[in-house]
Amino acid sequence: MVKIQALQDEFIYQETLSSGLRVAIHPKPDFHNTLVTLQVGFGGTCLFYDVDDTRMEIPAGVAHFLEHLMFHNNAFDLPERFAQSGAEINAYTSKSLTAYQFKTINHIQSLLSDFLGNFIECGITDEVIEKERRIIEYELLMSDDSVHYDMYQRLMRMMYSDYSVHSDVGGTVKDVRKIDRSILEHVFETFYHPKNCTLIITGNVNAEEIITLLQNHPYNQKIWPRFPHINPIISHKSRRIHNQTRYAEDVTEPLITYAVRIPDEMMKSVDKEFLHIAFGSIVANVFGMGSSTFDYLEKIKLMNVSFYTKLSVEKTYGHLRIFIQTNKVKRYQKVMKEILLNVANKPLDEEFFHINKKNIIGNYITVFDSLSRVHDLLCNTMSEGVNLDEYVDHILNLKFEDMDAFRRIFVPENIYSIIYKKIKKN
Amino acid sequence: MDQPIKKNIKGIDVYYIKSDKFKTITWSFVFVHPSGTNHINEYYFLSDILVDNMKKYPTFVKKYRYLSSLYGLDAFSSATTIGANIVNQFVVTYPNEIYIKGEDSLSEKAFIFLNEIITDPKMREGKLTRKVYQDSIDEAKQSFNILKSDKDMFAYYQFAKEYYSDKPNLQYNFPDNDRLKEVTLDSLTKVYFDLLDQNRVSLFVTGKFDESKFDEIIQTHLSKQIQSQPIPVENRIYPTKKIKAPKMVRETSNVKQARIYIGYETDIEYYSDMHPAMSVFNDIFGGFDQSILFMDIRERSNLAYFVYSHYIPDEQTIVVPVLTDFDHEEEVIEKVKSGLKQIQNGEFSDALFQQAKNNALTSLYSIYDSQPIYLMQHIKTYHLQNRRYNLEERIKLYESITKEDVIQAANSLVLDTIYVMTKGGEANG
Repeated sequence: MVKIQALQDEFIYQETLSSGLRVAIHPKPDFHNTLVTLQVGFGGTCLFYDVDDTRMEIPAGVAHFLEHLMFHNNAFDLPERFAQSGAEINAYTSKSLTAYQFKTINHIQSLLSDFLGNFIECGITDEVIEKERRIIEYELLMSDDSVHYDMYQRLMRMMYSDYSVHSDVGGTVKDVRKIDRSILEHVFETFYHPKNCTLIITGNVNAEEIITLLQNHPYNQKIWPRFPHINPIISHKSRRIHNQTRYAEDVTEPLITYAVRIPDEMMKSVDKEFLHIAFGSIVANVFGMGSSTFDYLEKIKLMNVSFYTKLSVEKTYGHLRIFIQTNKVKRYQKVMKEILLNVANKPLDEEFFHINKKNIIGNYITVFDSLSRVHDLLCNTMSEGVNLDEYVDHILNLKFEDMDAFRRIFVPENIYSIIYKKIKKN
Repeated sequence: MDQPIKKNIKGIDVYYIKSDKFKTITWSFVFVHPSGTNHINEYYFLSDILVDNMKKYPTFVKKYRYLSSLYGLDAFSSATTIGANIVNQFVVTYPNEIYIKGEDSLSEKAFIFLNEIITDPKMREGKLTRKVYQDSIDEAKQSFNILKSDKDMFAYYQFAKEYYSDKPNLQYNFPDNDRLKEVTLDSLTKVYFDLLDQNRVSLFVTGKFDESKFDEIIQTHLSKQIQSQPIPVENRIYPTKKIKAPKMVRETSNVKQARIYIGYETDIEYYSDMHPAMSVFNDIFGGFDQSILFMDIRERSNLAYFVYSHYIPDEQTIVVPVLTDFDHEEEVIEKVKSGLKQIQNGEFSDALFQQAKNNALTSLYSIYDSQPIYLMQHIKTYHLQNRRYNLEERIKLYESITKEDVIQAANSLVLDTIYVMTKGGEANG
């Protein structure tokens, strides 16, 4: 077991079990709760892929569908089992992975054992599949009523030609109707292999006891088949439409999103963690609360409470989105275009870059106050293959000039915009 | 966590809640206004105005960069309610300096900054600036536009309007959009000056720190402008009738699923002996994934993805939100009603009762794991009951709940409002 010092009195224990499952345990003995997450490297973008030499194609929404079913695997009612102990169980599917989580204040050993036992074999019935299909259809309909969701989906379609990138994690109702038991069993066999999973535990646990339990668990003892080489196939054909204006009934005030797509060559050639850190620093430097842009937008009354930026760096694609809801459409467009193009043309704010480092140190210490925040951070760093202590060092060691290569992507061919306006009634 | 230490420094009640468990220190000033919703918008606006308009840091750049130099000190504010009184809270939280090499003055700087937020805003000719006033009004309108563009939030807003339509002066909306016109620069300025010398003021500090050092920081840097007055905190009393005709509202909008909100009122008061039983009832009703509503409406009948019940104890309300398709609106409403009837008749298993009780206990223990929640519980209890928040005592109360208590809690509920947003044109309002 490798012991990592994450802070002067915070330690993380890491181990790779004989089955290939990577485990990180962060004991927090003063806390009552324990959080457990099993991350499976199978998410919404995995629709076309090679398994060794065989080309596979599955409908959108399979990862999400299977996530629903795993709560009722092998006729075992996992939520009921957890409820008996006052524990909460939950799951979500993102573009890159499926995560199963639970939170408890007691019976950690028996709960963890039952939890992991659920992922040894896939035993789902057609009855459960049909029941969950109906519930998923309701779930998908919920997003249909959101104009913000519609805007995001259209923007994704403008930026990416590949269905696996721009489709919703849950797929469409049409996609979901194509999913059957054989597809679900196939993806379980392919992706739910210990070598494709990580287990993260944060809270009131003893690391050695947990590792002993895991080593002796049937999940680890099982003779798993060889984990195949999986290669996702993504088409990176570029799209020509960069700006779009749409009209919708539900718009109370125009909605504007600008996006900067990270070029595919950069996605393929640069380490994802470094990409995240470098772009995160650019976004903080240009759009953060202490940036001169923020003050400028405030001064010329183009900043309001709806403004936000969101950086997404997934395994196969990445982009920055900048959103606002405002009536001052033309002025905002002119100013935002200028700001974005200036990122490539003008130097960033070096003084702010250095001041921000103290901020990063403070935020890192603060994270350890909250079980869920430190657990999420550990989940993210584990999925990127980085140790938590290295993570903060990597941010602090970033040099000002390191951002130069990345800010050069702020050029017209990578910039997109979409505007939603209210339909004018006759 | 240690028991809170209460002391009075320069006329202000100071509460130290010490803990070795957390890595941050939080200072929180609590200003209690006289009871009632008069000036609700002014109180709400003051929160942001004071944090965002400091004379010493006239721009975001200046303020944020200073805060970054204090290791990302987070300064924020809120307007909320304790009983029938609105309170403004001004808070700074930052990493404990014991984790930062060579840093020993962070707490002092943090407390000075917190005082400056409250006592040194941008002013012109003895008033808050016109820009600040106009920005607040514009921001409130903007926030309302944002709310209207979200179907779920807007449907809930419409439901709440209806629910409170026969409960005058009991709805505390931040901001109250219908009363924005009442706010003037003069009313805003007056409320600001009242904040300084016509409110009950207390200071709560949490984290790992040296008491004598913090005493000295307060003695030295507490602004003379901040004066505490003995403002009483009153309970919010909800009028409840055992028999009443529920309000039924149906609005149309461009939606693909119906939003249904069902509101019940109860005469069980906040922090009363029956409060824990109502909390356990809520879990059995629709509070988690084994609850009666979740199992019936989602798992057995597959009529919805989303169905829950929420207990809002300080408003003596249970709300059930459900999203379903248009053909099943009535069926879902009937299922919610019959779910309640089932519990009122005691038709729920011992296993479900035990699970719900375990959930409630887990939530209570989780309070120990969150410094902001633990702090808020202390602030509420000191103001409402003039005593420390005793989590051990509350845990015992929850442990002693019986099935009969839950049945009694269920029988206290009276159906008040059924709100449905369904397909059609634009929603009214």
